[in-house]
Amino acid sequence: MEEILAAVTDHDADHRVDGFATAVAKLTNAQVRHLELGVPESRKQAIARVLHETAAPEVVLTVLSRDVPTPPIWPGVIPQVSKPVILVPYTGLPLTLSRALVPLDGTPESTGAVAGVMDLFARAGLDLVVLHVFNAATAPRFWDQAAHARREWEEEFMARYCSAPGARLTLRSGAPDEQVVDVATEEHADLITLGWSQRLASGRAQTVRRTIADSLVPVMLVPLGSA
Amino acid sequence: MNPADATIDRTFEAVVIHWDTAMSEARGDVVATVRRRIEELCAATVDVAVLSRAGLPGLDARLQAQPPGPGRLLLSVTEAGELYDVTSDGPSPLDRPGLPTGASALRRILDHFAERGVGPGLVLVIGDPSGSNATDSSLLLSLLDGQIRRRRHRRVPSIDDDAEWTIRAVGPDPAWDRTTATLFTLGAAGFATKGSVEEASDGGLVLAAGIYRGEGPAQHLVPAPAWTGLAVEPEPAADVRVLDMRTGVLMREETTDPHPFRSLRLVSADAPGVAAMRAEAAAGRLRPGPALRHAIGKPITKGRLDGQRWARVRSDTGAGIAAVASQRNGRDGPVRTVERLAAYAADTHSPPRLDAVRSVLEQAEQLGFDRLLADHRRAWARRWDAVDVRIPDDPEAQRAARFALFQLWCNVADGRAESAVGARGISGLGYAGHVFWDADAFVLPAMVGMDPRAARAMIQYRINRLPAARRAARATGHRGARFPWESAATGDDVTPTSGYLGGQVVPILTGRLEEHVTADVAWAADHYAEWTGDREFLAGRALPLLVETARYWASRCRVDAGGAAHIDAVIGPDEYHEDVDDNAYTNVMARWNLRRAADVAGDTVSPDEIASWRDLADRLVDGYDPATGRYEQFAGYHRLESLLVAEFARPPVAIDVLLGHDRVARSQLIKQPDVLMLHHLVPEETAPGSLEPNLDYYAPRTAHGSSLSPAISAALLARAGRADEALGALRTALTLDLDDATGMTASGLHLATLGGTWQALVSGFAGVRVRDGVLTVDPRLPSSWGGLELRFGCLGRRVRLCITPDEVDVETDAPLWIGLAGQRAQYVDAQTSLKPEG
Repeated sequence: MEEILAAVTDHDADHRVDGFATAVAKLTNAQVRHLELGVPESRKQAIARVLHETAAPEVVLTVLSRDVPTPPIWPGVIPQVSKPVILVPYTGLPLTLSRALVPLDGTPESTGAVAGVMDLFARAGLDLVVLHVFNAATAPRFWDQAAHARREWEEEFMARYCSAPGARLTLRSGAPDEQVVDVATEEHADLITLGWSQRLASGRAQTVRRTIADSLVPVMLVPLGSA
Repeated sequence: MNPADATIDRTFEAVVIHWDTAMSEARGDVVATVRRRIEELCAATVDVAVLSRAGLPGLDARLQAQPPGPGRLLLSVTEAGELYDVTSDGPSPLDRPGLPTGASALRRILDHFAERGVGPGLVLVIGDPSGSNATDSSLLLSLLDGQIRRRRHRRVPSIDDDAEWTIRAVGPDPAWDRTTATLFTLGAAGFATKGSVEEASDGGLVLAAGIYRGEGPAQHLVPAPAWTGLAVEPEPAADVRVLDMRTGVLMREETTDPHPFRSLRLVSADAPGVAAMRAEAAAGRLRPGPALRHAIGKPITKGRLDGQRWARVRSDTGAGIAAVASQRNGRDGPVRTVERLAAYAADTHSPPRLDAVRSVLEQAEQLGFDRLLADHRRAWARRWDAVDVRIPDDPEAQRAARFALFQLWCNVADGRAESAVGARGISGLGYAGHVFWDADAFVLPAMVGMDPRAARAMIQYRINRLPAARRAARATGHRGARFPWESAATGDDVTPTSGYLGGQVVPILTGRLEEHVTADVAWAADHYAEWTGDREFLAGRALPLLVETARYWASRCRVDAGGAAHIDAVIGPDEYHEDVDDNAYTNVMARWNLRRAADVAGDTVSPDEIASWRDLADRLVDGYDPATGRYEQFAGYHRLESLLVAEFARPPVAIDVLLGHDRVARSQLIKQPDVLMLHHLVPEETAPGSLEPNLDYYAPRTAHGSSLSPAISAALLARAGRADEALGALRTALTLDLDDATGMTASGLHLATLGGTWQALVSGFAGVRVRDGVLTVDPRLPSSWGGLELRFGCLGRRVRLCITPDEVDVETDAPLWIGLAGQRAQYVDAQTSLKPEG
């Protein structure tokens, strides 16, 4: 049976990790495997244990706390895993899982990364909201008549990049990193799912960094090529 | 094709027999058998040529063929390759003017076949004059028998896969298949079928021009019953699809199966309303199913009648589409074959009667698929002979330009009385099929040189909607006729009132304010008359278009205390700026409209009214500043924030989506040529020498966020002598649909861009203008083009221009006044060379 790895400490925050892992497991017909991170345990050791457990064939997804321990271990984990990771923030918001926001930049790579997850969520009955942000790199070249263009553009964008049934598209203009968390809040999303290149070097993964930092809901990071 | 490498799994449309190598030793009974085979092939529409070095009497006496047609039998005899056409009356010399002297006999024959729409890839050549390939009479008979058998069993015809004339798609490709389906649209006579694969869930969308359903902004084209659907199991896992633009057919071939799925379809350019398809696959895989299927998501009435399927859709506007189809299934060894013929009819007032459509189908059945295909290929050959572009140094541009012509013919060419040309033609449901100024200012100027009847039908569409335009004028307290920004069935405005800029909801004001379309409609009628010389039409049926639109402008203008006339509160072609006063484009087009109506109205309008139009035209402000040579796009434009597109993104870019409506509206960024559109449409109404300063000023401010923009920009840049820059803009336009630069081609082709590219070539690079019965040429070629050949019609003549940097060779099929710009026109009888002075 497929397993969701929940890496937890005895910190209060990690009740949320456990709770969200359970919610995901229920949605995907998987079971939760707990990984107790010892206290004290060096950060390096903790990262190594998470990576080791995540590599187990039956583990399909790992859930970590964004905020504990301090400093968090996720920056050492997410660039190295080949499976999706969910980072759960330690906030007061209740954890539910009925709607996911999926930002797509309109490239085959990012689409391919999250396609499987979107399909899984759609089949499990989750509401899927796709977000596309127009910036200088992704703005359409042509937008003839505002009265008609949106429908045509949206139909084709969804046909190419989101095959999950029932998904709907929301469009924004501006910097993607400034938009994702705001749209997640507006849309009452319970989860943000991002495909990413696993490069956290300075100047890269701006949207991933900012979304992780600011999000009030869990953030799922799906490595490109993991599909 | 040489028989040594003829796999024979291929159907040819013509056969060439080198008699001396294949039959010189044959017995009389073998010759008689070959004769019967040749006659059978001719009866099945195959053209046959027999080549011999012998003289005519000897060859004809030996062959004694009396082909019944419709395929032709040609004899090429003697070393000189004299050509004879053989009928039941015997051989007669074939007049072949224009062939190069010294051309080989085979070349002459291939050229002849090509003129009939049969390219070299469709010609089976048996034997060779050198005798190096062993060919005897038994092999000859085997090859002929194979071709006869393929036709008898209705095997799928082949195409001449010539890269200059074909668009290929390798599939399946889930990301591109919808776009490919649009690119591979086939159409004629007001019907078009999308190029979806046969097993597609939409069954292959069929649309009819001008047949709408619904009311107001929701009015949209009605999908017709679909005729191309087939079940193939398993579905092809890999295939290649080829649109052959030269002959107007779409071919598909699976690339994995030993008995591959194949199909070939056409929408007849020769038999209006008729479509035909053959398909084949290994027996057991192909399940044809019903010949007609539900239009996507739309109820139809349907049934069977004498073995034929019929289906009909009825619109709530009273319009309707009816289709009748027949189907024949067959078997050729392990291969199952399907042949399907369909006939369509549409009527804007009532659903067509089934018996009329059945009659069309029965005529098609009497002709048979092979004859329909042969006639269709010939019709396309005639089109390309009359209208074409050749750019020897730029084959990609040439192919893309041919694609533009091809799809204009498919979407617009229409033998009917009126033609509603929507923004996407009938290649998709995008823009609901609504008719914009795209039709009048972008598509029509191309059609006048391609198919004047189709252009006239476009004007007739506007004429028939004058009552609605008059009502619209009255409703706003004006006189005359005010045409709607978006038009459909009735001519009432069907523009939506809200829309989206990306994700931003915006009110849509174009229906209320983008009034220049009224002058554009008048301009189109006048342009048609100038280009074709059909002045009777302008003085007669089309005159109300000019007169009533002039009356509208006369009542629409405001004259201020100083006597200057203004047009307040409009949107120009640059839709980034709404509700502006004295938009230069609108005012100058209105001025042109008033003056032109005054010129042509004659005694249908009182002298006082004509005088008032001229007086008002002279008073209309146009924003021109003699000091700078520039027009101000509208009152106050120069006070807006001076921004250039390059500060934000590389054009073309929908900069309103990127920056938002308000930010762009406060700036000098513009969507597309606005002032400069005047230099394109009515250069005589602009100040002499003003093209260059306005181009210098407005081009860096133009985002080209409209698909209308690149082609016209190419034309303008070429006219300004910036031909290399123009070529860049032309390439953007040429590939707009082919590369799906909009991300929206799946919803339909951008007809205005297709028309614009032809305008860019003809009026931009070649500098062709037709005024007062004179054709003027003023070429500006990019440095990478050593030559440009254009064929088109004007003033009732067929014209061929061969342009090089040094001269322009002109050919015309009837006398024509023609000249280079700045030189006196010559009366050219057949051909001449024009050279710049000095």
